[in-house]
Amino acid sequence: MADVIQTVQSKFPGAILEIVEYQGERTLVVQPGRVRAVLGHLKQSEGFNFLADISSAHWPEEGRIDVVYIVRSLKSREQLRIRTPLPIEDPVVETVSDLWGTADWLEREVYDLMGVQFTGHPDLRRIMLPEDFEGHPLRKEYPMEGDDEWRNYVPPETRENRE
Amino acid sequence: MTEMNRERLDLNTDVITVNMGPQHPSTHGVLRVVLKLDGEVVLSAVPDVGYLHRGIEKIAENKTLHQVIPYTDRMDYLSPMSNNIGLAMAVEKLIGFQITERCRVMRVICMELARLASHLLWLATDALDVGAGTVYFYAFTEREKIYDIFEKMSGARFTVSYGRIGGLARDWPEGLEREIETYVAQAHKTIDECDKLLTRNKIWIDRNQDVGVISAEKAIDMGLSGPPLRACGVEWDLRKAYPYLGYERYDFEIPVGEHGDCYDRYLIRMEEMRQSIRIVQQALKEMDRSIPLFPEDPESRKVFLPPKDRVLTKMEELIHQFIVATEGPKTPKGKEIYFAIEAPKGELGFYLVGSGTNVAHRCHFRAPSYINLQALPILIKGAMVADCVATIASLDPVMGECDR
Amino acid sequence: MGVKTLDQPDQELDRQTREDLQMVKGGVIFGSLSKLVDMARKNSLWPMPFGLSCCAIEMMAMVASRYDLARFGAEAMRFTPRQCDLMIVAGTLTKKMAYAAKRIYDQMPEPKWVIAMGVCTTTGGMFNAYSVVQGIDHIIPVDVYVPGCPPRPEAVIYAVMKIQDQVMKEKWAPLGKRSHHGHYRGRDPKYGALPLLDTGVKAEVKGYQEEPGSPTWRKGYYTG
Repeated sequence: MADVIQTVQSKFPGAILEIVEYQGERTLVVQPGRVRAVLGHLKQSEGFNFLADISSAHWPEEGRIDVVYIVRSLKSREQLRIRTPLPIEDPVVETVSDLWGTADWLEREVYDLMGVQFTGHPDLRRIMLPEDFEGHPLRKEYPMEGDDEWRNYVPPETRENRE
Repeated sequence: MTEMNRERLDLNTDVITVNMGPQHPSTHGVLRVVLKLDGEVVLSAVPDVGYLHRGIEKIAENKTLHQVIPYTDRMDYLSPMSNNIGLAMAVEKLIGFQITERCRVMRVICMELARLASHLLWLATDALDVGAGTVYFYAFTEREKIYDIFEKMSGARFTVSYGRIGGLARDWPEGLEREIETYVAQAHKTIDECDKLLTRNKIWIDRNQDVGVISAEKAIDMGLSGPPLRACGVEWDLRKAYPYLGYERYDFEIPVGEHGDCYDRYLIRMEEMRQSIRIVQQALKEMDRSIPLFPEDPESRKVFLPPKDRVLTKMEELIHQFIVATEGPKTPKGKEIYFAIEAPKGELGFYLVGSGTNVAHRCHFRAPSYINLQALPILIKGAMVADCVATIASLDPVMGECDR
Repeated sequence: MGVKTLDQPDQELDRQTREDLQMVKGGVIFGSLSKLVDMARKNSLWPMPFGLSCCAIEMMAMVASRYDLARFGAEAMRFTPRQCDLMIVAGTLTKKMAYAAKRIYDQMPEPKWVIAMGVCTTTGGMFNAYSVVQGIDHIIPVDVYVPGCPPRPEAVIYAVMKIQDQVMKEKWAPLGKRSHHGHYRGRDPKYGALPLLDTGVKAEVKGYQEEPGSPTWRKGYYTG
């Protein structure tokens, strides 16, 4: 595990902002611009062939959204977490959906619920919520109950009838 | 094959788009698949999920960790036990809590019974979708017996909410071990019976073999987990890879397939049920009532709810109960963990971020159904319409977990 | 309606009836045709299992061997709404799904009944979230609510029996329109029981006026 981090550090100098260890799990905090390069390197050269999860967390006080990738090597059973802090005003990160097929829907989910833009994603649409939903519910400022009105919800048949 | 048929019959068909779901008997809930068909051949399939998106992750950020447990029941509602206990273990990892040995054994038994119940329901619905109605009744009769056991454990037959941070909701009633033992001793009978009905059945083989094939590389790329991954020949089980709850002590095997088709997924789940029975039998031997269910040291006791009988008889336990129920364990601020269990559907992961209070800052669930379902377009491309049903059934998606 | 036989005392049978009975040599059931239709309907309900989430599994258990809904003549579960007269809505209804639910209800032929199974269907239950409809009676009228999360199969069987009672109260309607309606919260709780929900029949509802402040989605839903 340690040598993986060392290789990443030597190959991408300055990309790793921080290494956090908690409960035996390692988290690399990586610059947003270089997260795709680091993940690509981990997949191609270090054998991290399994993308377990992509998640996100909103930190309103710090003004950032974290996107978290959990990668794993099925051979060596190593697991590594890559976290990248994105600015809240413009949360954009490059897609990894061409590296792992798993990332496709997971990135769509993060886009839908958290509002992170993934550049280069082939089909970045809402996945959980209706197409015309406004807002991103997992942001902290969004109320849990949502708006009491069902905004913009017009069923498709009605929309056609009106036209 | 299909090309050949078309040439021979000189058929000229248009491409039509068929909407399957969200209300369809064989989509296992509210999955919607938009199929592009050329005659009977599926040209492309686009799954549309989110029809059961209930915002569990958002709710979990607004409730104390104890309050989140009932919501996990409704995620994978075929095996609520493993979800509850999985979340409890993730929280324990986040706050650094050690459970007792007996609790560990009881959790193993609960989780394996849940796997048995979940796979039985999968068997019922899969067979029903493919056209074998009898198995449905056999499997449900068997499932009712597991429900009875769960009811004696937790008071509820279906959504049990039995897992608790630091332990379990309550101790088992007297003599439940014997009951589980007698149940488990005969549980293989139904499985054998269904085995006889299906495994060598010509129709079943025709409907399932070489249907929904995926290669091992593609399966890893698509992030499949659980039986669909093992059916491709990848020996990957979190119970062996990252043992939790002392699974390394039990003697069980991971069934691995070869072809990655629906038939292999069927065989693997059947074998997993038998292995679960083995694990339960071994765990029952380790069950020792002299060990307490909860740890006794005062620091640990700030985490879990005290047992009900003590709450009703002792003042300080009542105060303690009040504090734990209203506040609950504090999560460390900014710390994050990812903890995954081998749920019946695959890898059920919990990504928790602490907030410094009793509410998790972020609570993300890695739902195996969601990620397994993503491979559906690959699995059914070029297949027949009827194969679509068999493939969806063999992936065993649960929409409650998929959409969360 | 009553059963009349030749064994009954003379004063209970008029002459015509006595002659009829002698002619058919046995018992005859007298009653309105409406009652006969209701009786037939009551004992052969065709439920449309609208399984959305967890409750659907308990609904499946209800049909399976231990609880066996066939005892009440309602085991013919059909997944096409056009063949059914009882809709069992089992599970959480989300806003994305609501449109499908309404459309399926509209496709069912009259007369039709609805069971809201479980608290999620009834009121949104524990899911007080941005994406969940807080009760299916905002969308379609409900005849029987079953509490529980999920309700036990016995509870749903009881609900089916309650529906059977309601079926017996059904008046004869040649066009198949129902005389009795379930609870519909709809646009305004004031109009608890709107006679019909089909689009375009709004003008027929007596005393109904569009509230200026009523939520847009509900307006959009029915004005069609």
